[in-house]
Amino acid sequence: MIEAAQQLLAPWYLQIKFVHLVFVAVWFMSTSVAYRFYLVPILREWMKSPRDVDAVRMRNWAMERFDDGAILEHVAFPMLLITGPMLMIGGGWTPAQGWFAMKLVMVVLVFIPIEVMDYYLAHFAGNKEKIRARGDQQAYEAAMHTHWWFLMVSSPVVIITIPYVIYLVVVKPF
Amino acid sequence: MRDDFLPPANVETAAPFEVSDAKINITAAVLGASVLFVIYPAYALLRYWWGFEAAFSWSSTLVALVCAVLFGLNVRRRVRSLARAEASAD
Repeated sequence: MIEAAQQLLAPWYLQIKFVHLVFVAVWFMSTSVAYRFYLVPILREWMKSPRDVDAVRMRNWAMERFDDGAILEHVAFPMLLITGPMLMIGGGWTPAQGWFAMKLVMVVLVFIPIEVMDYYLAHFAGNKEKIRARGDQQAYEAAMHTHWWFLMVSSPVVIITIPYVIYLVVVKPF
Repeated sequence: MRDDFLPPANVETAAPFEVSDAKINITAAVLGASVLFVIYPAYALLRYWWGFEAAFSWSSTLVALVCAVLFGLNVRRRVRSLARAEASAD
């Protein structure tokens, strides 16, 4: 079964790699400018004046826009989960290669849990626009705080781990 | 610009974002420890499972320990800078 899949995918390895790399770029960078240069300054300004009406309105706008902005990242991530195993099978990569074993661990134990939480907060029960439409102001405020705490904790993690995984796959150091 | 372009603000329910130093320290410690006690063992076990006998070693454990400490300290520094509005450079 695996051998048949490998024979099928191997001739297309570079084409699949191209698609994988494009979606890596979208996944990694699509929210970075919005986060660093819009969301963080606006949320910091709100933290300085948490009940200032202009600061709260700007915070609400920025976070609701950021929920929608994460769509690009969250379309790209499933594409990585599809093309990644295709590359693994087509290229014959296994955890016998240290870099590949570490990449698998990072994907399964770091990226997937973070993305599951991110999907939940941006598009499902944590989506701020949907909560606002329900009129539940307490839940809206709670979702805002939860999302901001999640971004605070997850951003230093992904800033380190994503470049590390890119280093692993490009350099294959061990 | 239309006045309804921005979402409305309910300042009665708007609450200050407060996170204690203890919570930041615990979060950073847990994330740092996860490198040593989750990521590294998972990696070594996966390699061992694929026949790499020397998956666990003192030298690689030492590297994992150093990475865990540095990672935890970096998370603490970054989270503190985001959580404390007065520390903002923006």
